[in-house]
Amino acid sequence: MKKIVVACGTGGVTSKNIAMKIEKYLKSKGVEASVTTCRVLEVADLVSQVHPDVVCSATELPPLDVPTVRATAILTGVGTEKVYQQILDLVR
Amino acid sequence: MDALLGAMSWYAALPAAVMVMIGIFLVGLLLARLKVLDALRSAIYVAAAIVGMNAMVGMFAGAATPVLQLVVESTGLKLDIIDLGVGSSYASVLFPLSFYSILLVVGLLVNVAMILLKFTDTFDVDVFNYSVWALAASYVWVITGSIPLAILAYAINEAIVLKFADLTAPAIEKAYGLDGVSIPHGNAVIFAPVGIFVNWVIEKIPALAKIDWSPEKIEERFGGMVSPSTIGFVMGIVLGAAGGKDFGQTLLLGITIAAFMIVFPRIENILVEGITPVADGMREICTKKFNLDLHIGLDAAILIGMPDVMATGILVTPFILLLAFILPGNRVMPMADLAIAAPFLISCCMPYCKKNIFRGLIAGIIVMIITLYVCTATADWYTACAAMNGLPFESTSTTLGICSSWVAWGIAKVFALFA
Repeated sequence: MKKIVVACGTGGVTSKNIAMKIEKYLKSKGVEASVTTCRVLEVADLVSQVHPDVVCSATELPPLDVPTVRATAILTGVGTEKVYQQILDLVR
Repeated sequence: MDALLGAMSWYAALPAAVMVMIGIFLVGLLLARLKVLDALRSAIYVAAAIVGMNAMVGMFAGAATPVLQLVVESTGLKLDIIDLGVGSSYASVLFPLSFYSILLVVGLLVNVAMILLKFTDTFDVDVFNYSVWALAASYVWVITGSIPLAILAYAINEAIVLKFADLTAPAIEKAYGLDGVSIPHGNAVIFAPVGIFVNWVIEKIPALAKIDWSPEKIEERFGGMVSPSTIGFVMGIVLGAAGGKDFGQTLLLGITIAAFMIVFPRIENILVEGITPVADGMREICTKKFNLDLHIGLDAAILIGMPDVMATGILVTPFILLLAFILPGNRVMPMADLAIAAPFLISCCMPYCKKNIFRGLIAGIIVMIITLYVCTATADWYTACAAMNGLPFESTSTTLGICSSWVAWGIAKVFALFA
């Protein structure tokens, strides 16, 4: 089971929105993933606890030890395929 | 006609969660073109989230209000308006408006109309935050009792915010490299002028204009402290101690408030899970018809991660409490929104402050002063609306994150003149 963390400003609406879409996309590609959301301030701590495969965010992330993907496109609806592909490649 | 009015009054008299469920179901089915089962699932999730969120708000208010009253009585400070947090607005005031589903449709139609009339370049896909514009509608509904007037207030609020989004888009794009994006977030983007003003003033004073602080160090040192659960726990302890509670009761208050801060966002997630398919459906219907060069309107949360916004937010947060105590005429006791209000409300000031944290801090303090006064001025309307929705608060309440909208306050004042 792949692990993904999605961070946003409040760890609420935006990150959940993105998380849902990533989960759906990965499922359609046959990849089972558990996606958690959090606030940007907590992301470093969460990463050291959970060791996700990828961290995605709608906003800037602090430097992390795991691969990160800027997922703003998932919110705007413009250029989503590229971002999804990036995530898929990192997770496979 | 009578049948229609009769049906509408029957609908409005239903319990709030039921109204929300039916409303979201209809919008999902008819506007977002979801399959029946998907629309139903969305509807149930959103309604369930409303129920859950209201339960939590009740728990929080039930625990905090009596102690707060004790503190107010013993210190003589008139801080009787309790800040219940952004979530309380979704759960008790905005989503449960009997005409909220109509607002969702109107929101989309007004945006589309404005685009076609070239009044705006922003296509707001952030349907969840249509709710922020609904604040003006809720005030006007309380003041006039008229749903059509409330819908009009909503449309006016929307138009103003979309305009703000257009005007601020260039600066935001330049500052953060977010191309093709604008922020029609009703409570964040309207404070951009404060950023413009503060930056203009400071640049005239060479000694101040030189000051520049680094965001990384601030985030490192203080970032951990501005976590909602920590702040909530500490507030609970302080309140309990100040209210003369014993050891057990004081710790319990700390835990209860921390519980609210930690659990509430999870329930909010359920709301998002429910509304996202509806919002996406609504957006897809529109993008199929447009191929214009539009800015995509998004939630201000995409700015929060920017180091300068985060660091400034962290620095401004303690000032919120200080200001609450020293501002004459302020009646708001910041609580639930303490940890999250600052980054949001100052986010759109930062591009104009050239991402300078010192300037951002000054702008942030001014934003918070405005926030506290506007929240004080609107608390009665806000509380009355929850009561009219059948979800009354325990006492006069507000939320820093949402009720800080001076635009909603202004619109309400204008309507009040004519009421």
